[in-house]
Amino acid sequence: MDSVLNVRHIEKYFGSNGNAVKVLDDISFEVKPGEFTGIMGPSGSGKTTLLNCISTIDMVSSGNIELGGNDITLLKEKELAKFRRDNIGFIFQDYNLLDTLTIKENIELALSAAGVSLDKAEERIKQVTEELEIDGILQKFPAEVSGGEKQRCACARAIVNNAKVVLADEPTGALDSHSSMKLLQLFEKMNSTMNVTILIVTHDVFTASYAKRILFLKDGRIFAEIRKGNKKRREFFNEILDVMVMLGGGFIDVR
Amino acid sequence: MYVKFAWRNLERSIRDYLIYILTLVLSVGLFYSFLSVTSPYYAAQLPISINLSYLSQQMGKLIPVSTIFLSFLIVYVNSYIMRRREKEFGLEMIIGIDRRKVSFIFFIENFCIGIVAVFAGLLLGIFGTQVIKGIVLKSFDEPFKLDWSIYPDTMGWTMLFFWILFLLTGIMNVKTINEKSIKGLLYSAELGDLQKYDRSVHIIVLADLIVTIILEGMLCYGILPVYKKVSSNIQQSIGLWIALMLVLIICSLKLLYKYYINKEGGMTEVVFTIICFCNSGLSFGCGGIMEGGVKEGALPEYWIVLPYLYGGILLIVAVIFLYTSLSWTFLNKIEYAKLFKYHNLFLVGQIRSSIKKISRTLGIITVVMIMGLVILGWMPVLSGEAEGYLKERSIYDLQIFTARYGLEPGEKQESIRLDYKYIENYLMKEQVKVKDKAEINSYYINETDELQRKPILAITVSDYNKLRVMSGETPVTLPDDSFALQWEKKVIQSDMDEFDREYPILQIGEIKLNKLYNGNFQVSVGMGLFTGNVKVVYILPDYVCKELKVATNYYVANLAEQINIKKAVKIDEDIGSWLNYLSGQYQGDGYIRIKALQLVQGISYTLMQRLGSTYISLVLIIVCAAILALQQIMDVSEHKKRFSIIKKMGIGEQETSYIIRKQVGMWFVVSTGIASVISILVLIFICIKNYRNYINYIPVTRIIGQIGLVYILFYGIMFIYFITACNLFKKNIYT
Repeated sequence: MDSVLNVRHIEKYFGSNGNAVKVLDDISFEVKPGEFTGIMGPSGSGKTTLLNCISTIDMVSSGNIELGGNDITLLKEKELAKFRRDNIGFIFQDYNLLDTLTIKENIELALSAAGVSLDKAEERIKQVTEELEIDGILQKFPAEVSGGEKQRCACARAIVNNAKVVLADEPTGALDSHSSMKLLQLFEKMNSTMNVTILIVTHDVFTASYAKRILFLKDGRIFAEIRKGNKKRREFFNEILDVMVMLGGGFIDVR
Repeated sequence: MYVKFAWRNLERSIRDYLIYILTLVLSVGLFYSFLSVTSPYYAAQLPISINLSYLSQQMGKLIPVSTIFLSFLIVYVNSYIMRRREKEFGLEMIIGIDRRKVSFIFFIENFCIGIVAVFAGLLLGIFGTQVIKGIVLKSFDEPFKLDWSIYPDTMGWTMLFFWILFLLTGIMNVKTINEKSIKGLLYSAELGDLQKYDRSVHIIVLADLIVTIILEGMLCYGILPVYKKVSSNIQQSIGLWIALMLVLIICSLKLLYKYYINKEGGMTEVVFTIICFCNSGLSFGCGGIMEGGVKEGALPEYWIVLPYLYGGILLIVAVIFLYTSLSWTFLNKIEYAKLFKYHNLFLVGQIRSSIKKISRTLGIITVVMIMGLVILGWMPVLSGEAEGYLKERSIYDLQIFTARYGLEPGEKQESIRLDYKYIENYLMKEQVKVKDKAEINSYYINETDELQRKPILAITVSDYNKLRVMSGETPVTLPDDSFALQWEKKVIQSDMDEFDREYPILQIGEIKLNKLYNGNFQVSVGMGLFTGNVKVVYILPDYVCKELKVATNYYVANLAEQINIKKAVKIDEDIGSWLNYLSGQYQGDGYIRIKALQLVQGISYTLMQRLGSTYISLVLIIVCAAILALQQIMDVSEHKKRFSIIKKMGIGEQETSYIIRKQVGMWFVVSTGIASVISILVLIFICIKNYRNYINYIPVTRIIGQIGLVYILFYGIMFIYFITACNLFKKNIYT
C-alpha cells in the first residue's frame, strides 16, 4: 500500500549564522492510509515543529515531505495554502474555532474555503456532525459549549473535507480527563469507522495509548518506534511508559 | 537613554501612528492655509484695493473654534494608540522601568510624532496658502502670482495651537498610564462581546420623544384654532403631520419599553427608523407649506423655522437608528441569504463581532459626513448667489437712499427729501468728480398704497432710462398709453407670467394703461427701486407720475475715477451722519452705499462663507474618515487570532487580502453610500426650495458641477483613508 505521508531526511534549523539551532535532525518515516500514529517526546524534542513542517505551516531546511503523492517542499506559497485546504485537517490544543461563527458555520467554513457547493456542504455537514454526535449544538457559538464539544467541532472541521491526513497537536491538552477520554474514543471511531489517517502529537501517555503506532522523538531525532499490534491498550500504555522512562534516562529507582 | 528608547519604540510602532500622522498633517496644513488669511504679512502682499479686515476677523474666530473637532479626533486617536500599547507599558513596568519613566517615554514618542506632523503639515500649508491666495485674488479680479511666502505669525500660532493640544493629550496619556494598575495594562484586551447592548440609544429615543410631544402640543395649540382660516392644502398637510407625529410617539414608547425589557429594539427599531425618515421628509415638505400659512397671516412667524428644525432633528435620529436597525436586520435575517452567507462566512463572522459595537459610532459619523457634504455642497451656491446679488446692488459707484421698509399696515412714513445740492457740494469739496448722476423718485400708484405694507411703487420712464444708461444699458421707449415693469433679478419667468395674467391693465385714476409688449425688464439698475421687499416696480410715462405722491427718492452717481478705501470710508461716515440728521428730522430712513466699500465687504463676506465652510467641512470629513479607519484596526489582537486560524485552515494571503478589503471596505462603502444618498437628497431639497434666490445668478449646470467636485473630493479623501486602513490592518495581522 502506498504511503499517504512520506517524510524523508528532513532537517529544520532556527536562527542563522552562528546562532542556528537544529530542531529536527534527519527524520524519516512513513504513514500508511488509515493509520493512527502518535508522536511523543519531551519538551523541546521537536514534535510540534515536525507537525508544523508536515502541515506546511513551517518550511523544512532540508529533506522532502510527500503527502498524498505531492512533494510539499517543492510547492510555492500560493500553492501551499490550497494544498493545506484540500489535503490536511488540523486539530489544535486550543481548538482554534472562530468565536464569531456558530459551530455549524465553523465547519461550513472549511467546505466554503474548499469551494464545495452549498448543497453538498449541507449534506456533508449533516453526515459528519451526526457521526461525531454534535448535531444538537450546531446553532451555538463556541463560547456557549464545553471544551469537549469544541474539540469535537474542531474534529468535524478537520475531516469534513475528506482530508488525506488529520494532524492533531495536543488535542486533549485543554480538556478534563472525561472529555479527553471521549475525544480519544472519537479519534478511535474516526480511524476505525471512517478510515481517517491521524497523526497526533502528545506528551500524554494516556492519549498516546489510543494510537496504534508511536514514534518517539528525542533531541530532534526518532529515538524509538513501537506498534500496538494485537496488544491491549493497557499493555501498550505500559510499553509507552517504559520508552518514556528510557527517554528520560533509565529505569533506576523506577522499576 | 530614554529618548533613544522612545525613538526605537517609535520606529517599531510607526505603522500604528500612520493614520494619526496623516490626519495631523492634513489638519495642520488646513489650519495654516486658512489662518494665513488673518496674517498682516498676507494682507501686505495683496494689492492695495483688497481689504480683508472683515474676513480676517471672522476667520480668526472661526478656525480655532472649528478645530475643536480636530481636538476630539486627536484625543480619540490617542486612546486607540494607548490601547494598542497598554500591554507593552505593562511589560516595561514588570521588567523594572519606573511608571513615571514609562509615561515620559510615551510622552516623548507622541511629542516627536507631533513635531514631525506639524512640520510636514506646515509644508502642506505653505502650498495650501497659494491655493487660497488664488481664490482670494480671483474673487477680487486681481491677477495671481505664485510665491512661496511663509507667514511667521501664522506659523507661530499653528505651532502653538497644536503643541498645546499635544501637550494636553500627552498629559492625559500620562495620567492614564499612572492610574492603571500593571495588571490592568497587561490584561486590558476586551473579550469580543457579540451581545453588547448600547444604552445610549434609548436616551436618544427618549429625547426625540420629548421633542415630538412638545411639537405636537405646539402644533395643536397654535394651529388648530386657526385651522379653518388656512387653505385646504395646508389643512391636509397639518392633519397628516399630526397623525404621523402621533404614530412616532406610540412607536417611541413601544421601543423604549422593548429596550427596558429585552435590552434591544428588534423590529420595532426598524419601524421607528422608517417612521423617523418619513416624518423628517414630511416635516421638510410642510416647511414650505407653513411659509404659505405665515404669509396668509394665519400662522405665527416661527412656524417657518420649526418644521425644518424638527425635520433636521428627525433626520439625524433616523440616520443613527438606521445603523442599529441594519445591525439587528443583519444579525437576525442573514440566515435568509444562505448563498451569500456561505461564500462569505468569515466576513459574516467579522461583521457580527463588531456591528453592534460600532453601529452608533457609524451613525454619528454618517450624520457628521452628511453635515460636511451639505455645507461643502451648498456654500458655493450661497456664495455665488451673494456674489450675483453684490453685482446687482453695487452697480453704481455711489447710491444714497431713502428707504421705505419695516412698516406695519396702516403705518405711514414721511419720505426724506434729499438735498442734492448738499451732496454735490460735498463731493466737490472732497475732490470727487462725478461722471454722471441721477435723482430718482418712486411714487405711490394709489393714495391708499401709502398705508399698505408692501405696495408696488412706480417710476417715470425718464428716470428709469437714466438708470439704464448709467448701468450701461440702452434706454427703452414707452408709449403714452402703456406701462412696463422692472423686476428684481431673483424673480423667475413663471412669476412674471402670473403677474401679467393677473394684472394686464393698470388703472390710475382715469388713466388706463396697457402692458407694453415684452415689457418685463430685468436688467441691473440697482436695488434702490425695490424697497420694502417688493420685487417689482412699474415704469410709467412721465405725465402719469406728475399727479402721484412721492414715496421715496434717491441719488445715484458714477464717478470719473475709482476712489480708494480710505476716501470711501470718509464719504460713508460724513454722508452717513448727514442722513442720520435728516432721518431725525423726517422720521424716515436713509442710508448711503459706496461701491468700493460694498465690494470689499461683500467679497470678504462671500470669501468668509466659502473659506470658512470649506475649512469646517473638510475638518468634519477628515475626522470622520480617520475615525472610520481607526475603527477597523482597533481590537487587532482578536482579528489577528481569527486570521491566523483561517491561515492554518488553508486560506492563502491573496484571499486574506481580499477578505480584508471586503471587511474594511464594507464599513466605508455603507457609511459613505448612506451619507452620499442622504446629503444629495438634502442638497436637492435645498436647491429646489431656494431656486428663485440663485437661479438668475448661477446656472444649474454650474451648481451640478460644483457639487460633483465636492463629491469627488469626498470620495478621494475616503479612498485614501480606506487604502491606509487596509494596509495597516494587513500589516497588523501579519506581524
